[in-house]
Amino acid sequence: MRSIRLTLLLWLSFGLCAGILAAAGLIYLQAREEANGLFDYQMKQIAVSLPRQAFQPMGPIVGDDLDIAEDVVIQIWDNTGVRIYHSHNHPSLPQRAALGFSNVATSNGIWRVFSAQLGGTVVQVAQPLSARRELAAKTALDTITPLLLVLPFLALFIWLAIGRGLAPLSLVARELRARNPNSLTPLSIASMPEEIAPLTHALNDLLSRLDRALDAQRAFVADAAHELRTPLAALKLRIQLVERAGDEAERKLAIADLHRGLDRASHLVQQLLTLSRQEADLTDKPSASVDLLEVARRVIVEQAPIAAQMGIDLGIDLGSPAIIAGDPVALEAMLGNLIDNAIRYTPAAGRIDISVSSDDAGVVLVVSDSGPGIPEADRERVFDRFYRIEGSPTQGSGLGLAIVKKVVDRHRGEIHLGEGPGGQGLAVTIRLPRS
Amino acid sequence: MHLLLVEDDAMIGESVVKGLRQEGFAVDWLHDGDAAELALQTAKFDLMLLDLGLPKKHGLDVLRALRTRGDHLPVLILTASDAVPDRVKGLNAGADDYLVKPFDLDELVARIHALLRRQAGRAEPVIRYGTLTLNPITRETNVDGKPLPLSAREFSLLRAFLDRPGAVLSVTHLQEQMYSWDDEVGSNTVEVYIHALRKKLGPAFIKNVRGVGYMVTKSP
Repeated sequence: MRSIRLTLLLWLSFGLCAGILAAAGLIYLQAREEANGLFDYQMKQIAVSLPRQAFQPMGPIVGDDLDIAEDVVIQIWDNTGVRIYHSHNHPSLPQRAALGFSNVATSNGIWRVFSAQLGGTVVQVAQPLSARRELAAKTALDTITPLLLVLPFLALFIWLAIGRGLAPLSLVARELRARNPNSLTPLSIASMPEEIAPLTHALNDLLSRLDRALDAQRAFVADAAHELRTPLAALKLRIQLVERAGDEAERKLAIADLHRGLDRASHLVQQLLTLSRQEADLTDKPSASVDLLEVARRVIVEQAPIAAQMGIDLGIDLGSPAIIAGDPVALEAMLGNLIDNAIRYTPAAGRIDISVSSDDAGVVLVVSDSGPGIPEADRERVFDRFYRIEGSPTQGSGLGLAIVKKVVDRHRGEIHLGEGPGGQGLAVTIRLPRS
Repeated sequence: MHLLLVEDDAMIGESVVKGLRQEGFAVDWLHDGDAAELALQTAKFDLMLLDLGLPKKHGLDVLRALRTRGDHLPVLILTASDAVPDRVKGLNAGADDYLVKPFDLDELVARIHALLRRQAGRAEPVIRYGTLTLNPITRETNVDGKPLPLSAREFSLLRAFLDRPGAVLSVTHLQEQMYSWDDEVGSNTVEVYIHALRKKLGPAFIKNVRGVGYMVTKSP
């Protein structure tokens, strides 16, 4: 796009020129009108002021070739039609003319002619119309010349004025250039003109949203890196123990330990990926048709062996299909984390119940266990990533409930943590809208 | 040498305990700040390995309380945070050294030895006593330049004596030097090892101070 300044300058200059030309035309028309009136009056006066009976027939005046072509030509005839006087020879003029004013076309252009019967003579005063037009044109030209002369100065002034008017734009540009991902402070908008203020407001809004998003990302990466250190430290130590193992039996034990360490690190990475995927997809509403009961059954089948190994009774109430619009992968991750948490925290010989029911508004999922529950004070914070309840015995990734919350948010649902049946253990109640 | 490890992560704790026991240290492992605080007030250790992000009581608070009590116990911080301000905070709170996770087991052992050496006021890594040299790092003992084979317990016991020659050491103290809490210790185990050492180094090497304990003389 061309510069606003140049565009404005061109248009304003064009407008000014057009205005001046129009003014010149108007002045010309008006001046010609006035000249007509004035000269007609003059011609009449000349005719009237000529002395009557003063002329005898006379020959043409010598010096015909005087350059007075534009001037007034006077001819006088007597009663018999004999020209008794003419100011200077102009053969192209008609010899007779109607009395009063008339325009006569000649080979030298149009002439304005005034004829009058004065006593025994007919007096004719003639003048080329071109003389009047020239006068009008000269008047018009004289009037607009100063205007045309100041036009360049006017243009310069316009150029400067536009530059001044647009200065806030370059200020905004300069301020924006100073921004980078590390400094997204808002632009100063105190002195912005009202035309630019909406732009800077919108930019500031964008900047602050970007800043928040970047902060969240940075915090996430920092947290993730920090949390990865612990399993990595454990892995490193375990590898060294493998290296140091004195005999085959010791080495085998150490390698088994190493595998557990690797599983834990992979689990954490997997959880981080799941969480970041849920955060990235937070804006789009998932829309596949998912039967939550089916998902719950699938996850239970997956986790049943682990629960059985720990002597935990894991089961689901009979229910009817509970179909919602959602993201099947995310919902499976949500249920997987809920049940995994329940298994982690439920002591041996405990019980985990899952129920899925649906009503008009949507689907309700309840996962309740006979574990220690979550203290009232921690129920808000457990959704923060890497938050662990103090003194909690098991070693989770610290991301499970954060993932669950993100999935629920993405599905525009609600989550509630409460006591399990009989005020014991934890019951997680999730309500998801049908669509 | 009796070390206290305070670390809430099970896998790291297990590995460090295993690795350090292989190095001949007696290691006790606690999982939270409160337990560490209690242990520090009731038992004696030669060095503490301290994680900072502990449940119940933060590692730095444990450390500050320790220094406030005037305890000079060497403390090595083990933590996941490598930010300089955190390290400065740890050292200013009274830590002697700092290791960032993930760390190398060999480096950890080397730093432990360095701290113990400094605590004993030695610059040389090898402990000398007459013609006897004791290398805590390789756990080798030489007499007149010839290697003297010692078991891990015998070595720990000899080291306890040579760290403080001239000091009378109680049986309880010697026991603490040789064993962690979860080791099964018989009532006369220390005496059994003293007997073994006397056999290898001569009957007069370790002297019995009746009713108090045992000692080696200040100079050979």
